[in-house]
Amino acid sequence: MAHELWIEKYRPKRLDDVVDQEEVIRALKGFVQRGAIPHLLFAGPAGTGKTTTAMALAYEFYGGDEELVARNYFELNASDERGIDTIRTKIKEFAKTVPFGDVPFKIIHLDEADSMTADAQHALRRIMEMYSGNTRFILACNYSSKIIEPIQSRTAVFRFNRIPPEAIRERLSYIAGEEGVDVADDGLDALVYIAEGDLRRAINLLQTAAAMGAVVDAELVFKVAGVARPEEVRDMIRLALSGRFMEARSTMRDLMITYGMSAEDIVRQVYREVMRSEELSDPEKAELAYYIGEVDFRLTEGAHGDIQLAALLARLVALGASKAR
Amino acid sequence: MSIPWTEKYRPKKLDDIVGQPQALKAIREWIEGVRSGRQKKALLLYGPPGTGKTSAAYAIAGELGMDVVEINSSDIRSRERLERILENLRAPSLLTGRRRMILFDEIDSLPREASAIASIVRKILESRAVVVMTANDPYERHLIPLRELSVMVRFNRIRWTTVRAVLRRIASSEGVSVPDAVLTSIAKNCKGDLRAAINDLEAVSRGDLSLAPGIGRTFGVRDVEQSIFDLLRGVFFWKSCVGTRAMAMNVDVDPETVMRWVEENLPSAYADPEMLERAYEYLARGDVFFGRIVRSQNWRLLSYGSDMITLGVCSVKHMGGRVTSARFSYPSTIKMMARVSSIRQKMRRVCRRVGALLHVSGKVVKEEILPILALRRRDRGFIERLSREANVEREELAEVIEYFSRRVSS
Repeated sequence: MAHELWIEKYRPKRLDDVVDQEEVIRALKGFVQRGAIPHLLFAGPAGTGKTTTAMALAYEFYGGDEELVARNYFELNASDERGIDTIRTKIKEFAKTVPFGDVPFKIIHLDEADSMTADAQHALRRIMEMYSGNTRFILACNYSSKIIEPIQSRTAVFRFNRIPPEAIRERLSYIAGEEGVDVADDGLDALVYIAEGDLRRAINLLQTAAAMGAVVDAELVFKVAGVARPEEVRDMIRLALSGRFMEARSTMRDLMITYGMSAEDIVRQVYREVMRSEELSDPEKAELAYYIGEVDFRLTEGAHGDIQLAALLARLVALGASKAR
Repeated sequence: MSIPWTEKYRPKKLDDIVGQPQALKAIREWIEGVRSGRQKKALLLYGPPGTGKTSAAYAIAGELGMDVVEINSSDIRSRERLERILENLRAPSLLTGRRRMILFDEIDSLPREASAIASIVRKILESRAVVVMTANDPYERHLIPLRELSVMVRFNRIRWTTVRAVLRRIASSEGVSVPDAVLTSIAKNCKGDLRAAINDLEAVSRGDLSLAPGIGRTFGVRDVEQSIFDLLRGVFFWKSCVGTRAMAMNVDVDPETVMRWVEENLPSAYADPEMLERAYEYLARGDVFFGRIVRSQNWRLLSYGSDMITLGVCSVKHMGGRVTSARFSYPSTIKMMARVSSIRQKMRRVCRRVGALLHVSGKVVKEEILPILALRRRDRGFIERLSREANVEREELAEVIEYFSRRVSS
């Protein structure tokens, strides 16, 4: 079934097939040839091949033996686990037995390591040390700066860059050809534009669009990508500026509570829309940018998204009222 | 067995009721209206326990020269008995020859009967009989119809000095000598509940003065639950705001729930845009403190957060805009969250499992993969295979995908 989803079906198996990231690949192939891998830290935006590279590295290091890979390669996502204790337990469970077959160590791939707090990362560092006899860690993150220095200094750090438009285009064309999907030129342009260097997102969008229409053109792609419904965010802002607070607030609550949008996503969209607005003056935009930034920061401090957003809407109501005078 | 002091010293006349000058004034106006035939509404006396509501109801009957017919909950549940009582109302009492006053005591203790009571009261009022009701908290939603039929009079907690004066009087007429310090501590400890104070006094003076040192610690400790409605009234309608801080400490709900209540009712109280903005900012700052407490487990921050949502929101009135009074309503966010919380849990679980299968995070599944799954939701074989490989139950998977598809297409 996993292969019915194209991101899995077309995931490169070998290091040489990874799209772009040539320098990283060259270095990793050296590790494989020497039969020694240090702890690794992969840093870079989503959809640039970090997970694929980690899997391909394991595949080649274990000589292309699927069973060795299955027994010795373990993957977990820090943002999906409930804190460092469950991570510790799972790692311990996996690392406490000797590697399967005639291999020097097991490989643990911990994705989104930068979602862990500094304290949790310190705990992780101790775990890494405890099991480094028979285990190598590959940590992945969006920003290496969010990884504590003691971990950075114990790992070989590799940067993954956004996939360039041409490479995304090429890959999408290849997949479309294999799947017999009719993609219009402007459809490809739209996919590349929306993906912003995230190849996984581009492939997922292609598959969604292909399931929805006979021809994947720009219109269809934008429609498919619009599931986050930016026009509702725009409506919400308009309602607030025109003084209809209750309606604006209930739109926001619907987006969050019923539709499950994250407050961060809404904040980001509000920010984009405010900056784009023609109704607001530059000083008003500057003040709002400051306050939206404050809201964004409060979210990282554990505040409730809906309360903070409602406060932002109340601010828009006051701003709208002062403009009307 | 002698009768308890709380009954023995129950006020018989309106003038005997202590500590409620405003309530008495409103009651006298209502009585005047009834006498002259202008007043067609019932009287609803409300307030904390032990502040004199039921005593006032009986005293009112005395002033009007009527007999009290108290209707209790079992009467309301038995239609037959109720019919008989109402039938008898029309004629004067055979014993005394006086008219009757109907008393519904503590109507808020019968939430399910509220609409039945309302229709009974309406019938009684139509037959031009007199109705008095009491309640602790009349601002429950289900009491709306009763509020509309009534003149409402509020009874306040009684000041401790007033309570102490009553205790002194009772002690001297009972001929017991209780040290003044003990009377003071009983009065302060009762939190405005005179009945509780008299009960404590009786317990202490009936032979057991040794209880006295424990007043407020081991003896006579009653949980006085400040209702959330009192707090909201304070926050939105009081001019002086410092008192709301103490009220927040006595409310028997957690600060986050208080925050939700304040949030729900804030926009209707403060419609003025500037006041709304400022008040919401205080609320949001309180929320930030609560978030910090959860993260750092530093509970010292609680009072700052609590100040923001009470004192802060209350202080906004000083900006001078209009404050609108309305019925307080239950926080709709709490309802909304309860409704979607189970599906969201399932969503998280499904996304995490499917993500593990596809080597991506749960978030990527939610944002990028669910749209693909939604388009194939009628493909039973596909759903079957996915549920097996991702190790999620087929029903749960189908439910999550269905939920997602509905919300996208809506």
